[in-house]
Amino acid sequence: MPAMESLSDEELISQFRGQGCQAGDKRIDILFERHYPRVSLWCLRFTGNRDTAADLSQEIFLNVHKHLDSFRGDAKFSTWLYTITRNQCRNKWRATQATPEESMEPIIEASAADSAPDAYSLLETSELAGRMKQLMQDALEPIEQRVMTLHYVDEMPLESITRLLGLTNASGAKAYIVSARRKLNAAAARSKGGPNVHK
Amino acid sequence: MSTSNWEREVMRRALEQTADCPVLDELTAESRSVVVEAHLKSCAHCQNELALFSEFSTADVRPQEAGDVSWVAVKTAERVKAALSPAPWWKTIFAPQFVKQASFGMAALLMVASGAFYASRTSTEPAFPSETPTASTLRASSIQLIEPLEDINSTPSSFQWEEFTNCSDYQVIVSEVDRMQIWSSRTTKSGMPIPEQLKKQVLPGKTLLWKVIAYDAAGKQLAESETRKFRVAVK
Repeated sequence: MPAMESLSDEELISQFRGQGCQAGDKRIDILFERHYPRVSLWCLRFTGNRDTAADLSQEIFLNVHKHLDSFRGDAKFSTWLYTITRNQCRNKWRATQATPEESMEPIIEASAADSAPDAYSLLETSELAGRMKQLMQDALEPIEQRVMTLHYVDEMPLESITRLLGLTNASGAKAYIVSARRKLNAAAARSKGGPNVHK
Repeated sequence: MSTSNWEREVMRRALEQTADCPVLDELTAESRSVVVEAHLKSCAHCQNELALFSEFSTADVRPQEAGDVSWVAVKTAERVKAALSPAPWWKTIFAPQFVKQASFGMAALLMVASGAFYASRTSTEPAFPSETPTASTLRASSIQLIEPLEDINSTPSSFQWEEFTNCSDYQVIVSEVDRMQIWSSRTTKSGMPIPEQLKKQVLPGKTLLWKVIAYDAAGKQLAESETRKFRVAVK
């Protein structure tokens, strides 16, 4: 029988379940020890504060442990852990945030959808999103897309994105958002029938 | 002019996962299928996911963050091990389920003892001692904040929280939503008036965070509340 240290993450979990998921199982220590540094690093870059990062990291691992029985045997533990880490960071941020950061001129003019979404505006939003996706693919650099994803999908604060992606310019992620929006604005203006663009 | 919620929604939808996107395991597979490879080339979302996962799994620790990363990893390991280690036998006797069972058992014993006592009231035998565990033997693990919480109509006049047993004093910490601390003070009571200096920073529509930490007489931290937010409504 191979030493526990030589087992893969997935094998450790499989054996842990096979032993009845008992508290204090050495396999979980080994599994978690492998991943403490990367989750700690992610949390530290996300929060920018080591105390908060330690709280968040602890919550993530306890959450992982709690749901180990729902881990699919054919999946990779690292991708599962990454998904939980990212979701938990997002939830943590949402729980403490009143409104998303807003500081820039809009690319798309506000419509009735701002106040009361109806079937028409929902359709309009979907259609625009499809076209915007294409514009992003055509006009943006990968790093700009990454910053935009973290900002708009993960709703991550700009300082966190700056730390997470190691952006070293003076204004960090904000500069990438500004440049991406300028590019999208220009691309939308060039595109026939593009989104309503602010001139 | 602020970014519209509508634009935010369009951006979010443009960048989020669609039904066609493969799961992360397929994207990170050593040999991707032709279909997944073709999808990846044309999907910004999947390209981003792959890049961010790579950032998570292979990122190098920068020299200036090495100390903090190591500290967070050690703290996490300590806390997770403590939380997951089997409880010692003496702690299990205070577990709620055991206390409940013990209470039933004790009640039954008391009834038997009472019957025996009344049956032999002339006897000089000592009475059966009662040792039913009480709620006070169970200690709360955190401090419960009372007010202000969430959206409120006017500037609060004080912070209030539930008293924490055996605590010598409390520290109240107020911070901005980005966790930048803007005010802190200590008190021996389970409440504290909000000073004018802080009230000036409680602006309508602006969210602030607060928490309370309890210390014993030696200055050792006993417990900490959750960090909660509050915001005064814009009129």
